[in-house]
Amino acid sequence: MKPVSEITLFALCEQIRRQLAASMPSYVWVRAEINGLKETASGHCYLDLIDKPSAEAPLRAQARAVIWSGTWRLLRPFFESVTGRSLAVGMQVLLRVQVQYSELYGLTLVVQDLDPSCTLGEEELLRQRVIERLKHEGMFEMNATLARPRLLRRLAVISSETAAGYLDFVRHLSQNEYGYRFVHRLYPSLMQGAEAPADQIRALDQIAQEQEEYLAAGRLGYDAVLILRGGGSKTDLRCFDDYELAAHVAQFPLPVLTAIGHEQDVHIVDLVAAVHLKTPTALAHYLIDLYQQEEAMLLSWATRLELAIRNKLSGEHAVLDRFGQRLEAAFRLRMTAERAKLELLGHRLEKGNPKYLLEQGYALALLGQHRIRGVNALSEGNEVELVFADGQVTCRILKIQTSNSE
Amino acid sequence: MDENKTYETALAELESLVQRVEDPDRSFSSMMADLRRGRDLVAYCREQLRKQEEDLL
Repeated sequence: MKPVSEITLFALCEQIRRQLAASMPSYVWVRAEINGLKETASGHCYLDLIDKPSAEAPLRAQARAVIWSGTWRLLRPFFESVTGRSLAVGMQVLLRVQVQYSELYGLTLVVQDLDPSCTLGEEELLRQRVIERLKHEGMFEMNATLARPRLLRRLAVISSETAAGYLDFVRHLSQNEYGYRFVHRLYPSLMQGAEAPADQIRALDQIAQEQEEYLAAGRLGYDAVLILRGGGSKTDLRCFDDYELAAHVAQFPLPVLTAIGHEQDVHIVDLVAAVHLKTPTALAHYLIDLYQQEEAMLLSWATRLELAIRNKLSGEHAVLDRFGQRLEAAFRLRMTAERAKLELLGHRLEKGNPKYLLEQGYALALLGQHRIRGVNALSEGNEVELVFADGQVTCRILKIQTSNSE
Repeated sequence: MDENKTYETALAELESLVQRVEDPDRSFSSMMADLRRGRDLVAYCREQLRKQEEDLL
């Protein structure tokens, strides 16, 4: 059958191009997954985009896209700074594209803009899935609930020996102004890139093995494991969201302390670790602070002890003072009483002295040397001595008269 | 003073001694001995406290 009319391929494609140009808006936002990615030497970025509703579902659309070098130079740093990632195969992206059709090259989506929030959401979703899984498996809190020594002194450090963060850490720890001494040993490991999780797991296994040997030999072993990494771009830190690494950290038999970077983000490894600090320097301060807090606590106990003893001592002083005063007072009282008693006796003694009576106007009558106690001892004519206070007289008895009162 | 006497023992002796001294029926001559003993006890206890205070410094 002979066709009614025919046109050239070029004419057809030209028609498609014109139709497209007339009917398509100047741009459209498209959500797609990157299935292939190539950057050319001239700086253009070519993408193979696909549309798959889910991982198991069959492909339902695909298209080529290009980000011209001029656009790519602007979009790339912005996208990477926001998401912490480079464009990569498997990534969900939201692109603002202009649909172009060329008679020679066919359909091409020219990328004008990239919305990083879509990719970010995807990333966050993946992170949340890892967190959920760790929680579901009962590992999330495991390391944090390990018994931790009050002071962390013997430290196994997983880091890179050339990392600025590691060097900062060592400097701060060894030059602390209080003179606390720490023992630390580096287990060098990759701290970035796709190989980093496996390499850090290897370092963890080595530490666990050595710890077992130390303990078997009756030595103290390590108090904790530190994972240190200073600075670095966000892209570099994605290995710390790795499930396998997080699971190993969570289940590690020693407390794990992390200081992964200056960024504000918290990584999954941070979340499962016993303690996480922003930077290695902050971690060094944390370890030093543990000692300082302990020292301050000891000091306060010592002060309380001293205060309690001082109180007790001053109480005892008071008791002693009272006893001493009672003793002296009782003695003085008794002395006063004894003195009064003595005085009274002295007084009585004095009153019995005949000299006292003589001074009162009485006289003492003596016959010979004997006191005369009654008239019966006398006869008329006897010579009697009368003793007065100021002298004596000699008298003769003229008459004796006996009282007849009886 | 017996150097091995504890503070508590010395204080207990002092207390019963003071009570004895305060008893007006107690003989005066034994009271003099009590006073001397009591003064020694007070001095001894003070010395014990002072020693403990020195340990604090």
